[in-house]
Amino acid sequence: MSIADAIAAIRARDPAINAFTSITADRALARERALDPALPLAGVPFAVKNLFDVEGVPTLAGSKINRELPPARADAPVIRRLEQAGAILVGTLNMDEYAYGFSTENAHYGPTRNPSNPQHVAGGSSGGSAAAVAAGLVPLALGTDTNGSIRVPASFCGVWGLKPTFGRLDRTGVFPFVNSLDHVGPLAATLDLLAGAYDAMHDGEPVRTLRGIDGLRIARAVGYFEENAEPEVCALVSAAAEKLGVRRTIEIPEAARGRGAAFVITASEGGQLHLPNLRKRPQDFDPMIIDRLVAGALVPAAWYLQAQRVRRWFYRKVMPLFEQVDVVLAPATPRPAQRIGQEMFSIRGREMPARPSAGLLTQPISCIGLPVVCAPVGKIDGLPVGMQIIAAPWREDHCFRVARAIESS
Amino acid sequence: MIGEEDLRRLAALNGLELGAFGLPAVLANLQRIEQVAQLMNAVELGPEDELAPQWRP
Repeated sequence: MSIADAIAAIRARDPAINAFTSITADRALARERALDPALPLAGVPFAVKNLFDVEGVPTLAGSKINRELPPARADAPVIRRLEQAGAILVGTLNMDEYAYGFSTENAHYGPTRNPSNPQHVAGGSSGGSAAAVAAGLVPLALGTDTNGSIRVPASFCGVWGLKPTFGRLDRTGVFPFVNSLDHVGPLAATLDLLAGAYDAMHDGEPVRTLRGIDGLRIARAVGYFEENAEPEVCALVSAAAEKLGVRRTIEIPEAARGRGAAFVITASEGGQLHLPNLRKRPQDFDPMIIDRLVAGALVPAAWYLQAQRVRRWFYRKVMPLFEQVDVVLAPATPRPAQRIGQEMFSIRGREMPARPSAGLLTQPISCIGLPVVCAPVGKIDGLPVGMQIIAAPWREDHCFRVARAIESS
Repeated sequence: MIGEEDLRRLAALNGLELGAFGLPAVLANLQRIEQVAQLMNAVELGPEDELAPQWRP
């Protein structure tokens, strides 16, 4: 498909899901004319969550306030690397304001709708990224993940996602949310494209051609990761594990405290970042996030510092697990996507707030920066669900080997 | 548990006018953070549990 055709398709079909916030047509067509067809991602159209700097465009980060920023002077380096590999940027994508959400219900730009059922959320905060890929508008997108913002929408929309090891990919030119926890990563329609995009952006050993799980020790997470997921979701993860011959189970210790540490760190850093604008222009924030931002900005330092130390403690508790196993499998979300506007949902009979609870299973993992491939593993009532393939720090190769085996099982 | 008066003082210390926000919602959020912070405070930490990332080659 030519870039012109891809852009025409986006213009025709995006209004139904509201994934895109801008289309960079002139730039994309010019890049296509100059394209080297021998490049590994030659001609692949991609789009980016609108907190990535795109030259000549204000970096919105899902906000109204950022419309007033001067246009970005240069592309974020990860965009440059994808284009150096031949991929072609076609636009920017909707997100929760300032990445503070799991549902992409944005007051300024509207909700992004789940392509599997447009009455349901696409997840967040990289909801536009996941929805655009799931709807076939682009095969590749970039997102960010602080507490689950790649993995939750990837799970809800049924696409592949990668949250690499914390610090693996360059965050320059990416509007921050929580400096201590922000990760950059791709979402893609196929595992091959996910791997190819990752290989274009990192400096380690390539993963695109890795195959085989011989010798890998794999276990399925139970305990917290079953108690906080619906039985149907656990059944899909168990079935995926079974196809790989995985029968071993394991508990990730202190996951609730790990999640708690990430929660306090997020509240404090997320709020503090926006304190100047909270003082000057509170009316310009999305009502969905402002109360959390204000509360977070007021968090006493002692709470925040304790949470950072607990994060270190949690890391020390979890790392011995990787002396026993190489990869852990766990659900990405407790249940499929909720309806747009839904306030509460139920997990194993317990009613809880829908939006923050979508990150119950992702937050402990990103708290300590472990790499995760999120794989689509099935649907419940027509709505997708994903599985986290989790490895030790810097072992994205293990994630991709297992992902390949899942794909071909 | 943190109360309305505590919130007003914290906001004043940080130059925030609470009238601009939904005070009950901000208070509820801060109380929720406090609950989670108490979970953190119950963890016994050692000197090896440092604040900052430890980068090793």
